[in-house]
Amino acid sequence: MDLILRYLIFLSWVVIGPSGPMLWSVAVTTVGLFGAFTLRRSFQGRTIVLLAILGMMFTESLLFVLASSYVDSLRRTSTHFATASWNHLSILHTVNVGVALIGGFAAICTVLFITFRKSRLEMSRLFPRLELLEDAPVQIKETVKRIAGLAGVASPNVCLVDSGVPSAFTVRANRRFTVALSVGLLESLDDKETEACIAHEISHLKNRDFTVRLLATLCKVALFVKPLSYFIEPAIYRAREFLADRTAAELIGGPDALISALSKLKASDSLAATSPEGPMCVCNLSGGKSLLRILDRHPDIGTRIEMLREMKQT
Amino acid sequence: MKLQALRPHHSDLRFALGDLEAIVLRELWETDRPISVKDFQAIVTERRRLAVTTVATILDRLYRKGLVSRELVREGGPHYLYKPRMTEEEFRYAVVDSVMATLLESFNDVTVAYLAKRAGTQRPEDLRVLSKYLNKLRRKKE
Repeated sequence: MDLILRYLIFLSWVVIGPSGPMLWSVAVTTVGLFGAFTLRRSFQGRTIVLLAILGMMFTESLLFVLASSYVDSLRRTSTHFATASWNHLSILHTVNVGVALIGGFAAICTVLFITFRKSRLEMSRLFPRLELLEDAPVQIKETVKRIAGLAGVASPNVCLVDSGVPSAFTVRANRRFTVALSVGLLESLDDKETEACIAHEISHLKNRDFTVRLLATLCKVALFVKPLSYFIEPAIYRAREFLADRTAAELIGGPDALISALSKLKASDSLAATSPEGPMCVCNLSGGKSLLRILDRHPDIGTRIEMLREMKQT
Repeated sequence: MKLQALRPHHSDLRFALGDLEAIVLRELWETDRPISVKDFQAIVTERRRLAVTTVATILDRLYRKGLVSRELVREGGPHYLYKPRMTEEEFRYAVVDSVMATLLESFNDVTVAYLAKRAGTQRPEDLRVLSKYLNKLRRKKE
């Protein structure tokens, strides 16, 4: 029994990290993860559960730091406090306070950097390697304005990327959201499909994915010693991607155009060079590939098409 | 022209290009006018089924390697018109040039000796080309 308990505690350290070797957090996380993936078609629900797990991990480490600090202060003031039991705790205490300070500092720096530096840069400074053609065609601009109106969000900037590789992404640059579409995308998709891609990008704005992603990234940065956070953050990104697909289909009245656009993009997905990634990038249609699917921030295009087909049937 | 990875175990164009790049470039040489991705894909697909997004990506890659040139047209929706930057002959010459330049720089004596030994063993007329060229060089020096 003792051995099993020790094993479980060890496991919790590996998964949750060195702050809380507490069984309840393992239990809650397990239930939460199970819940997140049984909420198969409610991506909003999945996001909330995943963010809640991150939040729980966050409060837990905070509580642990506070508790051990309290014990520390007791030890200093009271002579009756048993020093022997403190010896065990003191290493944990030092490690935890250190880790919490580093994580908190890194998270604050990230927030400041993103809000006051990165999101104020011009597009050309943000992506120095992309060649941008500022003036997008009037027809595209009007489509963006129309769909933004349907979604009830402020109309974003539109810019054209001088590249033959089909890609689309949304970034926050110069304090405004900008939807960037490559010439390759416009020349290989027809009008309906282009409209569907634009609707997908605008859905990210409608669902406030910039904020959700920032929140997820912050939790990951703050909980950098906890391996689980490295799996939860990309899972949130993937859920938002599915949600954007669904919102887009609702905006343009049916998933058909989006399905055919994604099917076309699937063909060149494996060939495409890396497109912009990073904290400013709310979305790009064909994302980077990790070795492990579970670490990928972008869901597989095939799975997205499947989800849309299911949506069509119901 | 930028040649990145040469593939010594592939023959013909595939020695210097990816499989799909070789197919697309060959088709482009056979097209006699600047062509849009959509029109070009319709031609390519007759021989090999390639999605329009694939063709667009491959053409972009060839453009970045400096093998094709393109021009942005805004009428009728923004699109590019692609055309080859060099003929097949020029491309073949450039490939041999880049390989031989490296060989002559790194292994000068061995490369020259090898060429002298191998010339004419497979095709006798190569010998004639070589001696003609050598004579020309000699006359120039005198």
